[in-house]
Amino acid sequence: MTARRGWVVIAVSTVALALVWRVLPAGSPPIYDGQCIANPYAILGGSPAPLSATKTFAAAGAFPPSEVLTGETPPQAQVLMEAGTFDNSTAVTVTITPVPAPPSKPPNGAVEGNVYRFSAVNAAGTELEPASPSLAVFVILRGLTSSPAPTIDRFNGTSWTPLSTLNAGCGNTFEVTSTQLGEFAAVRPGAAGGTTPATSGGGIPGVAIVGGLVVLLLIVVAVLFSLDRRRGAAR
Amino acid sequence: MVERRGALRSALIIAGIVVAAALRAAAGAPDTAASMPAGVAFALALLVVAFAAGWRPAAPRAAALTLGVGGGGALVAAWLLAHGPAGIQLAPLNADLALWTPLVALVAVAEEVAMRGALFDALRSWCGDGGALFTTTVLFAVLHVPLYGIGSLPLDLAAGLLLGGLRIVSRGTLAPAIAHVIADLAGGWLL
Repeated sequence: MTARRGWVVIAVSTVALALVWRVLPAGSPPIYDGQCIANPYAILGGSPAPLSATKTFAAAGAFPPSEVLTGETPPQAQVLMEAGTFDNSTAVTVTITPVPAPPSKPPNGAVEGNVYRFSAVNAAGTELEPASPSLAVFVILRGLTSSPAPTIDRFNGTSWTPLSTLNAGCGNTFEVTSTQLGEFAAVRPGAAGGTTPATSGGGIPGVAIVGGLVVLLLIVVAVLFSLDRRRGAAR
Repeated sequence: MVERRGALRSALIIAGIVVAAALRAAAGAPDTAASMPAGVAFALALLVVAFAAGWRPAAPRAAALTLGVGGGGALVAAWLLAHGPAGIQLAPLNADLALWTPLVALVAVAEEVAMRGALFDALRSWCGDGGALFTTTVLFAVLHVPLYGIGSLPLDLAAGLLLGGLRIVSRGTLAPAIAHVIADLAGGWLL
């Protein structure tokens, strides 16, 4: 491939990147890979306490694409909203607050971490919901572990509903789309009814897995070295 | 014969990269992306695989350096353009960030050395630049799914393509490595 074609690849990929960023509900800078910074999870009632977040959007013709996130690293709770999500004819205040877990237990496991209440109110104090189902909000919560991956559940005041959950990356963060606000929590799959995560048990010990992978890596490296030496000798 | 050897070498390098990623996941569980020891182990494993495959650093060229800075700028600018620069600020300097910065640079460089260095060279010896570009781009994106979720796939495909383009134009690993480091550091330094 010529350098000229390489430039075409660069141009095409730059445009693709800009398009992908425009389409994705991007709330964070461009981490393409690498490490993330994740401070310990702050539990409600513990020290440091988990943070709340609130943002007021002045009255405007249309609600702007926006995000509200708590101040931990990474944020323990975030909500991403598309343009027009709420009726913005008066000021809209979006708030995220950690709240005590309700007595009702999720059907699919145990709540891990905090329960967060997501709300939006207009200037009259009326609770708002997304203007239409096509304007669902993206709720991102941090869990305590990715293995097993938690599900994010929504509490409607009487019962919990599991939502289709995607891994959102750094610090065990997980994402759902929801057509309604309310209370959300990461739910560890398994024994229903608890609020404290159980520690994982059973299976192959982690040390054995790491040891096995190191041996495998050494074999690959040894074969590559031998191939490279033969290639050098042939030259 | 040359093609068979190139294919075998490519397969072994891919196997080495996959094992290194699995090692990172196993050593860093339950929060792999935030585990610094797992990140170091991953980077060292990639560098060993690349070295064993015959990759050696070339003398740095000013043109590649400039191209790398430009590529890194493009990776960050794509996000800035979509997001809008309003509200973006520099992260406060603290111990976490001071430790994180060199580690992220090490991981990014190691990934480039293994993928767009050793693997790209091995692939192009038997399937040309096009095949090498395709394979390294897909591998780059797929390897990040366990860390950042399926939602990262389109983003990492586009980023991998750009880094591959830099590799082809500069005919070396320096430009994609610099671009990759700049893009990753922006993830921690910009809020």
